[in-house]
Amino acid sequence: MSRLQQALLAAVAVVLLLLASLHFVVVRVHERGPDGMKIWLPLPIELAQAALWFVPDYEKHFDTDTVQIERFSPLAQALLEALEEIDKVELVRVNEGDQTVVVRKAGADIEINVRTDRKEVKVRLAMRTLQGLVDSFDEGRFDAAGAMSALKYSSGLVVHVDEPDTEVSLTIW
Amino acid sequence: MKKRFSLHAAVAASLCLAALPAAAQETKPWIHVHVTESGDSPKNIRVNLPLSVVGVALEVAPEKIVEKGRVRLNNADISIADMRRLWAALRDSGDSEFVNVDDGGQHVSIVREADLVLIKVDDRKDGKDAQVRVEIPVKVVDALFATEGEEIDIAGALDRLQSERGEIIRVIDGDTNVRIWIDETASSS
Repeated sequence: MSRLQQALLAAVAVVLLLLASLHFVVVRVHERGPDGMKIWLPLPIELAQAALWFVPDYEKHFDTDTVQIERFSPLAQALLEALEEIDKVELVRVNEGDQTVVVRKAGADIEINVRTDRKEVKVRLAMRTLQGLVDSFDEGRFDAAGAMSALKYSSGLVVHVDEPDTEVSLTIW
Repeated sequence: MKKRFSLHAAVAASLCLAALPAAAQETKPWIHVHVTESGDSPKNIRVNLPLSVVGVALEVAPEKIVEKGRVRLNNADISIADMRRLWAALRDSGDSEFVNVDDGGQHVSIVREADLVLIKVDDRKDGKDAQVRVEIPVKVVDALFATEGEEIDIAGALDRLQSERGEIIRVIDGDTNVRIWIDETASSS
C-alpha cells in the first residue's frame, strides 16, 4: 500500500470516527401521494453547537416570555424531581370525542401521545433532556446552546407526526 | 483486634439493615383526579400527580387567582368570614346537620358525619335534575379556614393533605362525576 493510500485510509478512518462520535438529529418529512415531497435531513448537533460560537451572544440568548417561563419553570423542575424515582406512571389521560391525550413516564423518558381519528402525534424525550431544557431557561432568557446540548440525552424516535397527507419524524442518534 | 473489627462490622451491618425498611417505607403521597362525563359528548380525564407538585403549581398559579396559597372569593353568596365563624361554632358539635334548606325544588344540606363534611344539593327546580355530593375531611376544612378575612387557605389545606389518605372530594353533578383521592401509589385504577 502506497503512502498516499495509507494517508487516505487514515483520513477516512478519522472522518468515520468523528461521525460516529457525533449526535445527529435526523428530520424526515414524507408527503404521501405520487408527487409528495420527501426530505431526509441529518443535522449534527455538535456542529450546530459549534456554529453557535460564531453567533453573537445576544442572538443565541434570546429573551422569551419571561413572565410565563419563570412562572412555570419551578413547576416543571418539581415535576421532574418528583418523577425521578418513579419507573412507570400515567400522569394524564384525557378522552374527549375522538381525541385521546396521554402523558406518561416510561423508564427514563416522558411520552406524550395525542391521537385523533385523522392524526397522531408522539413525543418521547429523555428526562435528562427535559431537565436540560428547563435549565436552559435562566432569568427569563433561553440558552439555545444549552437546549441543543440537552437533546443529546435523548435517542431514537423523539417526535412522530402522522397525518393523512404527511408523516414527519425527528430521530436522534 | 480481629474480633473487635468483626463486632464493628456486625453493628454497622445491623444498622444498615435496620435503616432499610425505613427507607422503603418512605413513600410520597400522590393525588388522583378522575373526571367522568356522560351524555352526548362524554369526556374522561385522569390526572395522577405527586402531591408535592400540586403545592408548587399553587405557587406558580397567577396571583389574580391564588396569592401566597390563598384564594380570595369575592363573588360567593355567603362570605368566607361568615362560613369560618359558622365552622368554628359547629366543628366541635360532633355529628350533626349544619344546614338544611328546602327552597321549592332545591334542597341543600350540610352534614358532619365522623371526620367528613358532606354537602348535598338536589336541584329539581325548573325541570332540572342535578345532584351534587361533596365529601371533605374535617381536617381539610379546618386548614381551608385557617386564615382570616375573605380568603381560604389552599396551601394550608394541601399541607394537611400530606398526611391524609383516601377519598377527599367526590362530586356527583348530573352527568359529571369528579373523584379526588390521595394514596401512595403513582397509578390510579
